[in-house]
Amino acid sequence: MKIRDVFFHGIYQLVKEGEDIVVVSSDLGAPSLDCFRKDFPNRFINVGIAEQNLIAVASGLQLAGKKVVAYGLNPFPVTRAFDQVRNLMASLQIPITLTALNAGTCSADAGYTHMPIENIAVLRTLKNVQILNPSDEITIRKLLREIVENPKPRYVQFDKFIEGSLYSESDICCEKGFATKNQNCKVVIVSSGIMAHNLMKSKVPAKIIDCFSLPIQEEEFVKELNGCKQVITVEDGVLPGGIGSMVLEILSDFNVAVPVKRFGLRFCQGYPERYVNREMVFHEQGLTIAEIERYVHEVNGE
Amino acid sequence: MRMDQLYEGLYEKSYQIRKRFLEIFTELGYGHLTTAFSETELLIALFYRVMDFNAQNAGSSTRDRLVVSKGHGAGMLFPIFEDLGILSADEVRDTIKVGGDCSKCRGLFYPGFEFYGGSLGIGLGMAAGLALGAKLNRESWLTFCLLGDAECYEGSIWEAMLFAGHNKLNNLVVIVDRNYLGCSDFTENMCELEPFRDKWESCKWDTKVVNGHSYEEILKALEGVRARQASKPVCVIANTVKGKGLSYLSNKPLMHGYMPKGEAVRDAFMKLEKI
Repeated sequence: MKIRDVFFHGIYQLVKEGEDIVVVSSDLGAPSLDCFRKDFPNRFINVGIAEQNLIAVASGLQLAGKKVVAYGLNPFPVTRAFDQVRNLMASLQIPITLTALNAGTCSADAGYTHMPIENIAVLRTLKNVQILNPSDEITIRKLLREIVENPKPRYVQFDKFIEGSLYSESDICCEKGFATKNQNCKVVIVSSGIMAHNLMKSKVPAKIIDCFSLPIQEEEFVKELNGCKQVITVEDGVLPGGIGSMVLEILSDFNVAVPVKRFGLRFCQGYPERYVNREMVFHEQGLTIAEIERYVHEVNGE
Repeated sequence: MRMDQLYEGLYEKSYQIRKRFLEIFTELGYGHLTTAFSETELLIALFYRVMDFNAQNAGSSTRDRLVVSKGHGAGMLFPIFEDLGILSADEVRDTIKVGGDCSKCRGLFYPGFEFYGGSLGIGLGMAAGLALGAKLNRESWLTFCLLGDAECYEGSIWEAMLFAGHNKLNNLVVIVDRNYLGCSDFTENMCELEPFRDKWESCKWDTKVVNGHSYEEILKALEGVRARQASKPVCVIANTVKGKGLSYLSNKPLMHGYMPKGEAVRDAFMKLEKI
């Protein structure tokens, strides 16, 4: 099941069990929301295509005592409504869960307007907002429990091409913020979302650290780099401010000297002026698994 | 109490609160005097006569909520909180200074006063969410929201106006401080807001227009607000004068962030008028 649908099926179940959750949408539905809307019509509030109002109304409802999931189409809940996110979620710490459909280039075929490729970079500038870029459905199931048991301001993006499980429940610690695979490799790849998903399913001979929740616990992260000879960061997003930047900041702050190679969206020739899809963007930006594999082999002297 | 005594007391309160505002903020040397003086009667009417609000139990779950969306006017809350006994004079002094501890103040804003505004245009959507939440919870408290008129240029205000009208939030009361001034110019020179009342009504709001410095008119407009049968939210457009109480600062562009300093402080106290 796609991760968005895992999420909304989970919300439906929680409401059935008596949780006082409302979903506020900016004109966005989902097949998995249909039964929620039918069975709990008073708990589905549609503000129309008005992302600023989405977050303001969601915040007001939360202050009135509800647990609130806001749901909009990326990148608009972040880029159009950044001031609301900044003041209501980051500063006032109103604990709503802001969910958004699309991550990175998954809707590249709708054009640059619909690519939330800067979202992680801009949200990383805010303290107090947890950023979730899940790579599998187990992470979503953990998140659902957190929404009920540990309310705080959260942003979650759903990549529409991610479905299925990579992890067991015990692999996912939301406080730590990352999960690892292939412990014994000397080359470490740091990633999240679709890239982590694809890497975890590949046979790339590297340790993979999936930073599904930011900020990560930095001390724990640095321990994971023990004995590492090369770090590679891979992200379906712009490089400034993203996962690669985060890794460089941590290495600098902890005085860890290890080479870092960043893979991400550079758009050296400007944004695409042709009709593209995700596959084409990945190919042109050198973000394919084959390209990363080739680089890992090069580092390993193979 | 006779009505004339009530109003006399409120107008005296206006003078004392404006005077205390001047004391607090000329000491700091920063603040938005003209916008605070524009809304003085509106806030006093809300806190002392209209809202179901107990200063001894400011965080009560059944209290009416107030969202001061025009956050640069929030300074006027301090002399009012002090007068109501929510903050002591010492606490105000300890807060309104460079390095002042805003933690108690923050505790009042959230939860208690719901929101600090200032990033204009955010408050109405929040107030609509609060009002909708009260309805979903089947609770009877009201949500009040104070907007600045020039704040209404923000697109998010119109998003929230449509939403509140459509959702029949008859437990939401907006008061627009209509002083016709933004920061740099008069609203009707920048980009006409008129016919302002029609715009709210076209979004399915009830409207009233009052003199925002007249307690008689403000209280008359709000007296039945708790027992309204209408299915619409209500917007009270309060015509005001930016800088009311200090004639030499009143109704002038570019006085938005003005605070008297040096010799001008004594002058301001001397010229402060009763309205």
